[in-house]
Amino acid sequence: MSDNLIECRGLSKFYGGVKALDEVDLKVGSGKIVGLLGPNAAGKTTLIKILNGLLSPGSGEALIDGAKPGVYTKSIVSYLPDKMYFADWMCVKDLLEFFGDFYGDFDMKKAEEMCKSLNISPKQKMKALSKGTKEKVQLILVMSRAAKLYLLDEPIAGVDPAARDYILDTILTNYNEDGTVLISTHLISDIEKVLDEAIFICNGKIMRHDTVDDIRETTGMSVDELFRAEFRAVPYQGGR
Amino acid sequence: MFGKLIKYEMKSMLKVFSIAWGAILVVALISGLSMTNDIFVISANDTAVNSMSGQIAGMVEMISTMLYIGLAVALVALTMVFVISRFGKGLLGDEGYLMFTLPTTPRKLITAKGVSATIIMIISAVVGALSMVVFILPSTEGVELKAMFSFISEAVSRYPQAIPMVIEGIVLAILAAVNFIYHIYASIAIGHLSSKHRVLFSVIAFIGISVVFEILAGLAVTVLREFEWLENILNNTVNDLQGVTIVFGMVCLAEIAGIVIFHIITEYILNKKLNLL
Amino acid sequence: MEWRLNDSRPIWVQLTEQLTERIASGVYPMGQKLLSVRELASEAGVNPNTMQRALSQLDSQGLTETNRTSGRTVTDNAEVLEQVRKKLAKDKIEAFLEGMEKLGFTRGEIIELLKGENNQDE
Repeated sequence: MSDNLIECRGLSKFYGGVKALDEVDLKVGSGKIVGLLGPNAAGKTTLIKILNGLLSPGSGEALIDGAKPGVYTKSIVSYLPDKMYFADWMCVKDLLEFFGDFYGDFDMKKAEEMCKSLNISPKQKMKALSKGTKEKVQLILVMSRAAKLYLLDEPIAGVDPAARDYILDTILTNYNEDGTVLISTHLISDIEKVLDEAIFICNGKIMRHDTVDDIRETTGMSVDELFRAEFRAVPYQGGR
Repeated sequence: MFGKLIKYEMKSMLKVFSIAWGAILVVALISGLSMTNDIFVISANDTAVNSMSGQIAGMVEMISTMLYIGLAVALVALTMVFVISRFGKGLLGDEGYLMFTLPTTPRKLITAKGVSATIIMIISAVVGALSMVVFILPSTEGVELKAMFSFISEAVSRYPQAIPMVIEGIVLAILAAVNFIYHIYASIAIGHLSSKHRVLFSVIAFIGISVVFEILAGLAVTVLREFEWLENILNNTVNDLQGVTIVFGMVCLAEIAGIVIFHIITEYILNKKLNLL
Repeated sequence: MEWRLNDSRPIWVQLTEQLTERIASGVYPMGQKLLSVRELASEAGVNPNTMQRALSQLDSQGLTETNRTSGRTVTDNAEVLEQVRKKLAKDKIEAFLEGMEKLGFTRGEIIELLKGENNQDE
C-alpha cells in the first residue's frame, strides 16, 4: 500500500526504433479520473502497456500500488485495449464466466444486466457481433470489475457520438470510486468534462500534469484549447 | 488459476475435436462393416462384381475406406493446426491482450497450453487406435482379435519384462509428443522476437532447432559409444531387455532435457521480450 | 432544463450556478430530495468529484441540506430561496443593463423600452 496508485520514476522505453518514453516521472493518486492526453505516437499506449505488464520497462521503474507490474498488479488493474481481445470460439456467456473465474472483483450480475439492457443475448458468438457491440461488451467486462486502476486505451476513438455518450456514461456510473480511471485519448473535447486531472504527453515526455480546474482557472481555456495551443503543428505553407 | 487455464484451453479445443473423433470412429465403423460380405448378401455364385448391389458395395467400401484414411490424416493435421494456432494466435495474437493481463505468470500460461495440447494428442492417439480396432473388427468377426489377445497374454506371461518395456514405450511416445509441442512453442516464441516477419522467423527457428538437435543427438551417440559397457548393451539389445530399458531411459531423459530447454527459452521471451502488436 | 456546460470555465462553478437556478426557479422544489451525486453527475456527463464540489457549495450556501438518513434535500426555508431569487435577478438585470449600455442606450431610454414591452404584453 502506498500513497500513489501509479508511480513512475525516470521511466524510459525504446520501442519501434524510437524513444517512446523519455524519463517519465509521474504520480497519480486514487479516486480520480485522469486523462492521458497526447497526439498519436506520443507514448500513451506504450505507457499503458508498461503499467499493465504487457511491455517491460526499458530503464527506470513503474509501480502500481507500490508493486512492479506482475501478478498482484494484474489482479487490481482492469484494462481495456483499443482492439478486440476475446477468444474467437467464445460466446458472450463464456466470456463473462471467464472474467468471473479469473477476477475476484468481477461483478457477474452487473455485467449480465448491462448486456441485457443492450439486448445482447448471452448465447451469441462474440465473432458474430457487430464491431460496436463487441466494443461495448469489452467495456462492460472491464467496468464490471471493482478494480483499483482502470486503464482505458482510446475507448472512444472511431465510435459514433451516441455510443460515445454510452461509453462515458458507463465509465462514470460503474467505476470503483476508490479507484482511479486513466483514459488515454486524443479526442480531448469529448471527455474533458469527466476528468479530474489531465496529463499532457508528447514525444514520450510528460509536458504537463494538472487538475482540470487549475487549467481552466489559470489559463481561461478549456483543456482542449490549451492542448491545441501547446501542441500546434505549423501547417506547411506551400513554399511561401 | 492453473486449473482454470487448462479448463478454458480444453474448452477451446473440445468442440472441434469431439466432432473429429466422433466422425473418425463412425467412418471407421462404416468402412469396417462395408468390407464384410454379410451386409450385402452376395452368394459365391453370384457374379458379384458385375451386379448392381455388388458395385454399390464396392463403391461404399472404397469411399468409406478413403474417407477413413482421409479423416485420420485430417485429425493429425487438425492437431498440428490447433497446437500452433492456440499458441501463436491465442497467446501472441490479439487474444494475448486478454491472456497476459490475467493475474498469472507466463510460465503458467505456457504450461497450461502444453498440458492441454498433450491431453488432446493422447486422446487423439487413443481414438485412432480404437478406430483401427473398429475398422478391423467386423471383417474378422472377432476371431483374429481373440487370437491376438491370447497370443499377447501368452507372451506377457513368458516375458514379464515386456510390460515395463511397453510402458516405457508409451511414456517415450508421450514425452516425444510433448517435446514436439514445446519445440513448436519455442520456435513461435523466437519468431515473435522479430516485429515484421514473425511467421517466417518461426519457421526458420523450427528448422534451425531441429538441425541443432539432430547434430547434438548424433554427437551424443558418438560420445556414448566410447563407453564399452554401453556399446555391449546396444549390441545385445535384442536379447537383453534390460539394455533396452536403459536405452529407453536415456532417450526419455534427452526428450525431457529438450522440453526443459524449450520451456526456458519460451518463458524468457514471453517474460522479457513480449511485444503484442 | 438541459445542462449547458462550457469547457473554458471550471465545470464545478457552472454546475453550482445551474443547480442554483434550478432551485430558484422551482425545477427542484422546496424540500425535494435530490438525486445522488453519481446520478446527477451521470445526468450532466461530468466527473462525480466535480458534481460533489458543486453540491458542497450549495450546502455551504444553505440552499441544500445533507442529512445522513434522508440524503440531500433542497432547503424548505422560504427566506433563503427568496434571497437567492433576488440575487439571481440582480445578476441578470446587471448583465442586461451592461449589454444595453454597450449598445449606447441611456437608462431613461431603457426604461421607456421596458414600459413599451410591458404594454405590448397586456
